Amino acid sequence: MRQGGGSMIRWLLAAALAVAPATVIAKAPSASIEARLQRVADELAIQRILVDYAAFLDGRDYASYAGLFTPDGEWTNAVGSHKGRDAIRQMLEGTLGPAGAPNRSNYHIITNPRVDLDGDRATATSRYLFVMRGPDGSPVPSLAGVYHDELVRQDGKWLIKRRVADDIMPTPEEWRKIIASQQPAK
Amino acid sequence: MAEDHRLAATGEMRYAAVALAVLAALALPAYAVAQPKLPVDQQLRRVEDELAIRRLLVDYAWTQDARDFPAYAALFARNGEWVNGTTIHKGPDDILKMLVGIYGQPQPGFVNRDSFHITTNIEIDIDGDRATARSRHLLLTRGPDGRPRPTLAGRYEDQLIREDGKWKFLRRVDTPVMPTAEEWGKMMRARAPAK
Repeated sequence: MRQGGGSMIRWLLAAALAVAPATVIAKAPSASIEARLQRVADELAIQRILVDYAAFLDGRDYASYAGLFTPDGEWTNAVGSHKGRDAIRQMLEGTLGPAGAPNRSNYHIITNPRVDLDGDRATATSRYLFVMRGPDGSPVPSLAGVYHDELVRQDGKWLIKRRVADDIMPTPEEWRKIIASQQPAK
Repeated sequence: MAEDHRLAATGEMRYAAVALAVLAALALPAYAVAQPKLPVDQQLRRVEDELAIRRLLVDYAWTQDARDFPAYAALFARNGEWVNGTTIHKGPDDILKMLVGIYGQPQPGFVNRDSFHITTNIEIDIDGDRATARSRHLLLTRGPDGRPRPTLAGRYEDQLIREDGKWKFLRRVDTPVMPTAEEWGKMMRARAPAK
């Protein structure tokens, strides 16, 4: 009886040992806990940058906005390219006016983030929808596009190395027409 | 006598209720502590799974908008179902055929500058190798002056499965909320001759 119980336990142990490694291999990723946690933290940190970008832009906080880029970071769209934090700040001041001005007339909605990590480098794609104050004050979806980002980790911090803003709609010509038609009404 | 009996019964019930409350109070903290105490790798796993599923929901919109039908179909499990109203397509091959039927084959290098979906309000519940998710979608299309116009809004309700180590749609139910299917049909017919 004791013998039987012992062999039963041994059999169960053997079965468990035989099954366990297969299950572990099939289910758990092979990377260490630390490496896996790092990836999760990296993905969330980059998702935060995508949203911070809009918050700083809409809040006219140009210093923080430029600080999201590497010192040699580049911002590019169909119209032009600006390289380096100073150049990026100047571009914002030129197109949006002085830093810190209150802004209740437009904002960016950031959605559909895709982040792909590769060690200390990453790429990200996200959508933006620029919403403007309409003639009666109601928010009007006005411009939509895609951001394509290259990011790097520098001194433990993720930064944008290059951001390409691709305006999907309206086209630049249509946009000029819309802005021109809004000028006299103001 | 009957009155007394009823009173006694109420008294007993009250006693039982108090006893239950005490038991619950004693048991709760233990339960509350025991519940989230998964081993670290399993806790991490849940976070990884949640991020992977969020990515799946977003990839659905990206691949659909890019008309990348093979990539879209590959987001479904081998027996994955695509459901919209009474329409059901089962398995990646069937889903791929449906997409080509709706949109036609895109030109090589096609970039969609006329419409896109935004996916929001994602809620995910994970249970081992299965999960459920809910989200909202909003389709924006090019308006007459080129500006993006909200055109169609709805809900996704998903059943997900981990298949060969990757999260896939086992069943995605797309429920248009506004306009209704009838209203949508009317709008499409009204737009067709104008184009």
